[in-house]
Amino acid sequence: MSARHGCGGEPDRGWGESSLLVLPRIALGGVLLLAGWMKLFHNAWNGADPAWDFANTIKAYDILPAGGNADALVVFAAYAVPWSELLLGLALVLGVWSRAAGWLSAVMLAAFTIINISVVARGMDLTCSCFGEIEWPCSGGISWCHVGRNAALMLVAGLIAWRGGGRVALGWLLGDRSSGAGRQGWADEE
Amino acid sequence: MTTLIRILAIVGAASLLGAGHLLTRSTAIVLRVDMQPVPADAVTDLPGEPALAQPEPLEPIEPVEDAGGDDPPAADPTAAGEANTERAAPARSTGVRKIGLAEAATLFNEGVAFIDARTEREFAEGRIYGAFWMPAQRVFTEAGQNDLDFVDPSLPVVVYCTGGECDASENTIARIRAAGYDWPDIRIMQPGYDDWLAAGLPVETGSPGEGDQP
Repeated sequence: MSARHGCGGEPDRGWGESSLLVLPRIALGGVLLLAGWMKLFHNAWNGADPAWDFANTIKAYDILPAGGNADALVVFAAYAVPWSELLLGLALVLGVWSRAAGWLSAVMLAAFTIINISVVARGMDLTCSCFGEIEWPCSGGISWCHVGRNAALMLVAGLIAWRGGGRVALGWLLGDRSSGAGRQGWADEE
Repeated sequence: MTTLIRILAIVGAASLLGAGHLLTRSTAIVLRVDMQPVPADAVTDLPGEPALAQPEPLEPIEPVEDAGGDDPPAADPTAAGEANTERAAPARSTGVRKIGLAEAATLFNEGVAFIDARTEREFAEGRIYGAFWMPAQRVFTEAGQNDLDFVDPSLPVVVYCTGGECDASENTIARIRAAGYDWPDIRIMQPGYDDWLAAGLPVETGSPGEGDQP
């Protein structure tokens, strides 16, 4: 690999680093797609309403005051959060707007992690509903396993936010250079 | 700035899609009133709820002769009483009463409907004899409501899941009520299916639809 230099003066690690970023980017994107799909559409054609379960899970977290506008916010979040996961997953799998998707995924996963820690610390016995009926690799009520899983996913999202989605990506093919590997984030963007 | 603008665009798009999806729903989402587990020492008698009684020793029931037909097997509440160490307590959150294994076995012998709120796989692997499958996701389906129409509202209905603090029973009950089934006496069997099985009470296996009607 030639040691060409990028515009920031650092060695251009572009293609080599890009090949390393493909797997975590697509894996994280797939996980988010699965999470969003299971929360919104799993068995929906059979009359089921997974969002109802997720809304009650959010309410059970007991992080918002009960009743009135808070319930409306809970219901809205039960739809907006899975749709966010679907959009972020799609962006990451395709490699479009990867850095933005990485930042937002990291923020969301950080929030999920904090909420899970809060649930465990309060001794509550709640199901996660993170992937609908799928319980992997953690099963049962929210536990430190769920916290660790979310933290691990958050680190992957942070990696993509930091390094970009790489060049093996649709965005790169379309001429978007702001999310490529080897760039340093906000300062490098036009 | 590009990344920030894109983040805001994703958030905005997700919000619009979520709001649009919500508006296309045909029914309103009814959230449960209070999902917090009730500590045992905080349980008090509630308006409209029967007073909490200490479990009474169960009278041994007469053994049921096996007529060789399709009659369901009888449950032995004494066996359930030995296995059941949990105290029956009212569930304040959903206005239903939580019961122990012994009371569930007695109701089983009286022929009340048992509803299994667990997953399809768990149901197929083993269930209370004669229970029918009704996870929350199935309540609003045509098949689910056909099953619910079989339930006699004048009798108690027992709902169970995996036991402990599993939410599935409460999820199913909340949705049954949202669907308009105003059953006056719904009870949650707080010990789960595994406790029922361990107590040697009647069970059956098989896929939903194979003898899972009440």
